[in-house]
Amino acid sequence: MCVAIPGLVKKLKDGKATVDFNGNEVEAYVGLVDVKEGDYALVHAGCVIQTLKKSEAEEISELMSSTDERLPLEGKLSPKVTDEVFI
Amino acid sequence: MMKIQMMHGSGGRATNELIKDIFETEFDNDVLSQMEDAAVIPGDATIAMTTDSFVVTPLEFPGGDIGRLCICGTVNDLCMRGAVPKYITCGFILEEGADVETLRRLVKSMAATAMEAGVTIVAGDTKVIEGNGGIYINTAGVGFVPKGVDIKAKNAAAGDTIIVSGNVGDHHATVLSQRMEIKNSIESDNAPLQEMVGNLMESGIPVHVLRDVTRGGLATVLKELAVASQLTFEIEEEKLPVDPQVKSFCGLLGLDPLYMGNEGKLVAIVPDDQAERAVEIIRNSKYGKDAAIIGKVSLPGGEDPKGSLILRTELGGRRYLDILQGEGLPRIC
Amino acid sequence: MDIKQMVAYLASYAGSPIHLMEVCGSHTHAIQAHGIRDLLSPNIELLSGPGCPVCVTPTAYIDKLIDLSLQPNTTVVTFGDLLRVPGSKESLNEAKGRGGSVEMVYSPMNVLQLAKDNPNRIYVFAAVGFETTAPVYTVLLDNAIADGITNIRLLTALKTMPGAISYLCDNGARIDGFIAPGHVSAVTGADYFNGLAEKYHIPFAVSGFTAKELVVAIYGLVKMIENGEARVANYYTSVVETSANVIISRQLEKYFRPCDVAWRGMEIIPGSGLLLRDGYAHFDAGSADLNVDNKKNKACRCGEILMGKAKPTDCPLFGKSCTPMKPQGACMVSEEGSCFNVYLTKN
Repeated sequence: MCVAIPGLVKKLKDGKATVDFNGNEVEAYVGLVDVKEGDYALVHAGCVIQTLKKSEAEEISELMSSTDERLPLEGKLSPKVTDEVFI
Repeated sequence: MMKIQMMHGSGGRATNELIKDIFETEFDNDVLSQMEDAAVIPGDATIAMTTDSFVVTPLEFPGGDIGRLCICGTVNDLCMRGAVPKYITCGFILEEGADVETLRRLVKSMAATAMEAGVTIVAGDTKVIEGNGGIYINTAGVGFVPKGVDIKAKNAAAGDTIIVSGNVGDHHATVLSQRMEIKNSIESDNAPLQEMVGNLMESGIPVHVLRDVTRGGLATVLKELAVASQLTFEIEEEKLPVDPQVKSFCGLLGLDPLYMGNEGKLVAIVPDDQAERAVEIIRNSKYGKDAAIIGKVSLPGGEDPKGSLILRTELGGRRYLDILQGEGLPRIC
Repeated sequence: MDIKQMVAYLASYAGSPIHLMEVCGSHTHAIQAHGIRDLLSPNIELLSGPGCPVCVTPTAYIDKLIDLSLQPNTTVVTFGDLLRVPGSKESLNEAKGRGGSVEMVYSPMNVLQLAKDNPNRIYVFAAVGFETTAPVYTVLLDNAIADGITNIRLLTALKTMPGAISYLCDNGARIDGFIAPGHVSAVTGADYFNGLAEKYHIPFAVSGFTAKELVVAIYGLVKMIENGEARVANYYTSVVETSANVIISRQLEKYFRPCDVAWRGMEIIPGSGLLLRDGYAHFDAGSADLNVDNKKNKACRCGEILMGKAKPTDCPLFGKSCTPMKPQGACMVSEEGSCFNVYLTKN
């Protein structure tokens, strides 16, 4: 339903965040989520709607490349943050 | 700052001054300076002709402008039939209020691009209409086709290899970024491809098909070629050259790089045993460094209708691609 | 187990037939874009549910937008998808062609600047969307109020998922598992679907949008179905928590109240819509009771398709009088619509 990929919050000013998506910078309104500079954030229709942490992103990246035998992989699998947007 | 007014299209003094001041100064050459009603040009080979109109917003964007675009577009269309581009005509439609300095920059850019592409601008026309400062350009071009050269869409053969000359989607992403005020360092790829095509022709490789990847994007072009040859085209997602920043831009707006336009990329279809050599030649040409082999042409197999274009996705799934539907607008909801 | 092994498992699955439904337009789109269906055994079928907010909007809503666009000093502002949706007589694009004032934007927030720049013109935003988009309109209203802007209106067609999922389950749609919408869940939390999983004894898998994430979610659903489990599994933990975002819940509570609303092709589903509260009625462009769905082409089967009861190819109009260039129903208009997506695959 929504196009929302994670980007890096580079700057916060006047209720707006500058969010970087692999070199693409957009302005997004904050106010729905507690956001700080350095967070990874989901932006939808011009607003930040969720944040995720970089450490988590790194953890995810490792999990993606590992072969985990547990079934199913619930709670252990999520997207790499910036380089795996869907096309 | 001087603006275009309705009188600049009157055909009288103001028109003459505009032509003298801007077009003659920048496009100066022996044919044009005769100021005749038609250009008389020498030549006795098979000629290729084409025309194209340019209506881009904004007029100037990172990596190019409508002036460079209108030369490249016509030069590249000629090249795709194996022709050597020679002569260009241009028609300007200016809206009242157009900025004269902007026009001068665009015309300078046209002149520089024409020089780079080895073409001469031999005739032109200017009209002014009511409006809000817009600038539109039509160009037509003539090129000469060397003896024995026969490059056309339906020449693709089963067993051929599909090559794309570089990253897809750059021009479209540049223009949309400007319109949507998204900051990035993406630049348009608008470029003339006569040198790249010339190198391919000189190599003696029997090139079956050439097509420039413009509006509608790579998928639209390949689907049209597949339909023209009634064969199956299969390309691999993993091999598609896409700049990472463009890929993220597309993800952000829900766009697909396969359907994003370029202005300086071509698709070449060549016999399989010549593919490695062809891709090397393209990579060593100006504007071809990211060229890649992306797929194959084959006889229609099994359930596939004739003229299918199939994308083999990252995990091995098959996705049938059609020409672009709708406007290719950002998807939001 | 890695992705390749999961793909191999799903490709060779030979158990009882399984029907899975995604209720998110971006999932519909991603499944098509990644060729996911081609990876699955014929015994696993993916159905596209009512996950495209544009596709579920009844014609009365489009007609109202058209009326507004033709009023003096009024501009309708919208996302691009809505422009081509047929109303009972014409689309917004057609209305624009005969003088309607319509502007397309990327974000509802763009309306703030438009309204500031032209204080004598009323800007009506076509506020469609589900749980993910509804909060964005509350930020728009926060900012309009803070800046003293009075010439913004919303024509709302906001909908919430649980009512529609219940409706599907209550009305005989054959669904063994749901791929829960990823970004709705990012806002509501995964627990949002617990009650439904329990009531209908159907598993839910919260999924992201990459090929790998979708494969994991489908694999998870198949495993849960095989094991007779009916719970909500979260495979999108980087952005989806268990419970709702409290700020967003507060914002929605402040501005909106639930209402009964019609989904295109379905009946009025109680409590499945959101309307502005009375205190904010001055921002409303007349959104209540836009429930009539008076399709131009009676043969259009969008409704059954949205419910997973018919496939796009079952519709007599599909690919004939109804194509992405000339859509008869909303499912063919939006790039997230199931007919649009199947059309691309079949052609």
